[in-house]
Amino acid sequence: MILGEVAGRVYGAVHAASLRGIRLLEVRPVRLGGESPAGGEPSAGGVPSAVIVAADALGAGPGEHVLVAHGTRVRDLTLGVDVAVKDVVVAIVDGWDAGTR
Amino acid sequence: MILGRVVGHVWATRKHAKIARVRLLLVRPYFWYNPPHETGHVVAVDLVGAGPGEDVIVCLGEPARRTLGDANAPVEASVMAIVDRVEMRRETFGARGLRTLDGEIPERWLPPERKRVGPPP
Repeated sequence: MILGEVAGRVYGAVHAASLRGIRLLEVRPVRLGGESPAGGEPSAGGVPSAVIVAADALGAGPGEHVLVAHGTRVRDLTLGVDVAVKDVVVAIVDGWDAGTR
Repeated sequence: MILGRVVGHVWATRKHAKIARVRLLLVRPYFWYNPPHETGHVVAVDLVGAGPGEDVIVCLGEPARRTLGDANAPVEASVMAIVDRVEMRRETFGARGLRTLDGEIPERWLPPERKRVGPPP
């Protein structure tokens, strides 16, 4: 799983039938300094800024941090086999510490 | 499986029911070939009691689900072992393209320099 910050929801009027009713969030992975990489900013440590679109069944909102799990099996276990996603929000994170290098 | 270093913990109260009581560790991988997303970290469930500062082996995929004893848990990374020692020759690193995410090999992984006794060959 990876730790990320919810940047917002992803809306679309036209999408595949299997995504109907699925709440999609834009998640930006956290850098271990504790800040999310902003769009367009060169990132330190060689980690490129990434955006992940993940399906959410827990109701996370913008600004909250979440754990995103990747994989078809995770998708099968949480949303069902018919949903065409591979990234799923499995937890809303209250906090973390990353003091040790 | 990948080799990484525990840098901290993650705690969450609102989560999927199957991971309600597992401990989550924030791990910085040393090497990770072809990760699903380029992040520089991975969050793994912990059943071996690893703590920050320790090197660990993280298992990915279906085996990670089975470590919880429940193949239906929505996880895909799990700490399998706490590493006592890693040994690596300096020439393996760098010259053949093996690099850690930080670009530096930990000095403690390199075997100690052997002191030569007697005249040089």
